[in-house]
Amino acid sequence: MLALALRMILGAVFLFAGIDKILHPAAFAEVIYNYQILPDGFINLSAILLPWIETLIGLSLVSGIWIPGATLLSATLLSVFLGAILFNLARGLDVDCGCFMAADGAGSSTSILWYVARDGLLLLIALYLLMPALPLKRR
Amino acid sequence: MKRGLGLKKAVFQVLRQSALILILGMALGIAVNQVRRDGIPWVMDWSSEPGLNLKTRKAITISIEEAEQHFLYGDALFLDARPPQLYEQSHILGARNLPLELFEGPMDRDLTNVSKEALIVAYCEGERSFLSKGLALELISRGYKNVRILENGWNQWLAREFPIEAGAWGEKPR
Repeated sequence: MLALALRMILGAVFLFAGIDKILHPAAFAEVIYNYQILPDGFINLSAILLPWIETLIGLSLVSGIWIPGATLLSATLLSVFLGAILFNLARGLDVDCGCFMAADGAGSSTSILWYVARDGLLLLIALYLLMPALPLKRR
Repeated sequence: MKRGLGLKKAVFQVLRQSALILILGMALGIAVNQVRRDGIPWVMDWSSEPGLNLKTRKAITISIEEAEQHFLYGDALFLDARPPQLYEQSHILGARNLPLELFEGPMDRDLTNVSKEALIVAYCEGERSFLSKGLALELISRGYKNVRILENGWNQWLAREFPIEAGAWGEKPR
């Protein structure tokens, strides 16, 4: 039952996040741009494709189709997102404005830490859901 | 899932499903972006993007010294992008309040006597300057040609003890 609830939560998050980005591709592209991680040429492509992948992951989790694949993908995506956030946190980049923050202060604002915690938690959920898909006990 | 499914088979199944979702997602993304009216270009020159990306923001950002100059000359309209409660507590002397959330309605009304060429300085609080950035972007998209952002404007203004005042917009004669 816990697994079902977690699956629904993870699915809902991906569904809502994905649909929101589908509806606002330009805004999402700008966010990607502000992360300053991808080369310019890849930005729009990512902004176009990623939301649909996220939405399908969400649909899959919620509907129960291809769950193992969806959880693996979700774990992968979450790892990538988390990595990107941590990377920028480490180099002091404020992704809201794309500017590097002054050394003196708000090095990490609460919202960045919130994203880290949120994505970290979702990643744990995804990994937890992934486990049953891979029978680890040898016969 | 069948009991006794080997690890190798299970891994393949997971990978296969992931690949299917990936490919399906990409196909949908490509197809929909082609047909939708508000699709974005596959590749964009981000250095000349009209939105407030890094370069544009750097171009329209002004320093506190410049802002002070304009304030003293009286040739700029200062716009406070923060919520009305903060504005009422105190704001830059002579600044108008144009909170970011009041985009659609009151905005045109508040700026009816402001020419599109007028020098506008938007400010808010905090290093991110999120509100003033949004306000500036909206102003630019409505045709105002001389919009500037004073980053972390409110704090900088206070730090230098430049003139401020309190009161709701409209309370005092303009």
